[in-house]
Amino acid sequence: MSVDSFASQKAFAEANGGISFKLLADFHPKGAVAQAYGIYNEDRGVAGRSSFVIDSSGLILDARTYPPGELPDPQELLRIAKG
Amino acid sequence: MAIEAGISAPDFTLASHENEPITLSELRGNPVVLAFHPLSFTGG
Repeated sequence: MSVDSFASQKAFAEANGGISFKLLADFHPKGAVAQAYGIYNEDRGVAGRSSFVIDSSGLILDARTYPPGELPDPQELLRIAKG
Repeated sequence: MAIEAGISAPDFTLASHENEPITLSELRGNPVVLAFHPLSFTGG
């Protein structure tokens, strides 16, 4: 997810040839969810790159933030999610 | 400061790219991966 609007997310999804997951718009009020998760960058007005794996009961299993230039490893996150 | 493992994930409802509302707590029963990125079309 990001602070982009859903229309922007839709364009992004289409530009990537369609996606199999949900792109969520943390757009209005801007960044509210990013703030709740403690990863909102007030200076830039965007979410910091980060990931959270949540178990089936709603508990956070794994929380990570990524420095510029580093990307999440989707396979690793899915492995954690599947237990 | 990012929230940490072990606590309950803050609930939210947000619109998806298909403009449908997604509520985190309604996904209970399944694991969920949330990934935040700064902006779309910004590389990576």
